[in-house]
Amino acid sequence: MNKSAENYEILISPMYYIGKLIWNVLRWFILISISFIILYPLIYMLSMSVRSSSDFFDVTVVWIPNNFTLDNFRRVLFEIELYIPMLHTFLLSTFCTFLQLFVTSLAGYSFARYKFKGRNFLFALVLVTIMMPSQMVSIPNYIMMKNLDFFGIIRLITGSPSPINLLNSYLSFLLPAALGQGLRAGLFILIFRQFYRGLPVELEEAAMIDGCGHTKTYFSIMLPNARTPLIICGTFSFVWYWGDYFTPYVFFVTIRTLAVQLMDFHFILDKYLPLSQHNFYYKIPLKQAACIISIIPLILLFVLTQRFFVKGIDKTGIVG
Amino acid sequence: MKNLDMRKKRSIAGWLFIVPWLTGFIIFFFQPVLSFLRYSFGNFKMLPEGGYILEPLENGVFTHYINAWTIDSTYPLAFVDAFRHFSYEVPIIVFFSLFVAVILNQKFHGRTVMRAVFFLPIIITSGVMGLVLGQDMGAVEMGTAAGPSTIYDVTLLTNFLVKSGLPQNIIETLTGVVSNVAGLVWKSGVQILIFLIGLLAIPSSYYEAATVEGATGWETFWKITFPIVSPFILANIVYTLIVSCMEVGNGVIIYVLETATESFDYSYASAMMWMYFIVILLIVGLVFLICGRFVFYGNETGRVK
Repeated sequence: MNKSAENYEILISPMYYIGKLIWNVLRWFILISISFIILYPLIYMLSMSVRSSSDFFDVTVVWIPNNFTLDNFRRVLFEIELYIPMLHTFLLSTFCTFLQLFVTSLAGYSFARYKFKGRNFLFALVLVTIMMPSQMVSIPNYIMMKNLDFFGIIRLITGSPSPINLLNSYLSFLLPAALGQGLRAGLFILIFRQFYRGLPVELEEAAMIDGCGHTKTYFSIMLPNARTPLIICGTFSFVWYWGDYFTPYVFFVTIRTLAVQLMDFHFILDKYLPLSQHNFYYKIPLKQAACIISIIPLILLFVLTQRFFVKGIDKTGIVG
Repeated sequence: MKNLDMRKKRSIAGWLFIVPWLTGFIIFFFQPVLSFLRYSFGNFKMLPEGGYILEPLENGVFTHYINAWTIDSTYPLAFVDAFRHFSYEVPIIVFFSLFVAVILNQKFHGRTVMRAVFFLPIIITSGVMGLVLGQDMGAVEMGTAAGPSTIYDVTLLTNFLVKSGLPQNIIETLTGVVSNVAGLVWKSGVQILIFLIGLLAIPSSYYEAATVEGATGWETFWKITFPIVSPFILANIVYTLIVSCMEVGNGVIIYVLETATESFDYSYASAMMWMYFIVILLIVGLVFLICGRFVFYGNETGRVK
């Protein structure tokens, strides 16, 4: 980046290059050993999913199968019809992610830049929402979604339990997401708050002096600058909705999402395999093929958003 | 509206920005949590024809809360054990992810590929994939102690430590950490990413200035990188604490879920959960109070004019 500084270093110390070399070797050693831990299950999945059952029971096959086959993928996608839950999951995750991003970034901005009474208290409440495990509140949640009510007001007026039933409909996901109570929304508020606090105040002041109102300042100045956290939080949100099996398990009856199907895959396979193959081991290649299929969209998403992770803020025009 | 001063206007705008979240909080969080609290003061029974009833307790509303500490033998042990567990887990994860994020932020060939690899745990441990993989690989769940860490063998280290004459619990903690390295790597995905966001926000001109002035890499880290990522360190400490106290592998959570789903004692489970929850809340508050003092916000935006 700055040639003059490096030339200067050579004149003073040859140790500079030796140190750099040692650090380079050490860095690769650390990175490769950690990558192995991370990639091990993926390699396992990949290796399992491309083998036929004869290869699976062959002891001589460790990683690379003798006859490579894509038949497992075809069977999982079209015979077991995994593409339908996949479509459901895709729609649900996309809608929820966009709604969630909108609300949480707004709240994060307010927490970061506005002073009002009760701000700290409300922020503490945000942290509380992150902490409540969804498994525990599932029973009250279920009861609430069955008769959606606002502290019993509807019940008080009509005299019978509220007729609004959100169970088994997309609304049981979309409504909480649109009101900032989606999956780990509190974490996103926390990230946005920390990000907005780091932006220079002059940015806003300039916009205010030029006559922008609060809303306009936010949408035309602050939000475009928050591209990096928006994309990163969006990716998180999509991935978490995609992999979440607990909430759809509780709220949905006929709509099956990918995660729920994968969870029950063991029993679903029983319907498709002949009785002689109702064995834990026969199912492993098919299960792993299903896992690979459910991971591919997520990996594609990462490939697409990768460049935003890499891009520094200094290139977005805020600094300098 | 015209007569209001600037500060009043700002405070109203701030409230308006929060209103959607606040509405959702009241409807979809506060309501169920309130009933969750109510269940813990009675005996929750699901009715076969649908619906539920809440029977009152004979010995006062706090019976479940008192029983958990006086009659139950599992709960206090699991409770103490959980806190011992994250007293070492949280700092290790935060340091490790900061270290990795700093490495990933340096300039070297193949950086893009490496970054992509380090984000993979987020995808895989995100939900059902980890579970299915875990079943097949003969482990319980990805990211817990029984996860992919089984690919490491610690018997050699254990033997060595036993011969060295160290006390039993120190050996257990050490081998626990080592055999858990894989688990720690798997748990650090989100934290690495959060740190990377923070690191990317540092303008490169700061580093250029430091190099020109002759600062070493060590000095640059402590004088430039560390203060600027400090808000993210706070965020990560809080996040790690919360995730590790609520993960399904945690002793207290396992016990509470067992009580709720297997013995169907939902009221007792919710009472135990509430106590655990309140202690965690206090710890997080303490972390905010203590660490918040050392956090550096570059432009003092907290003080809006």
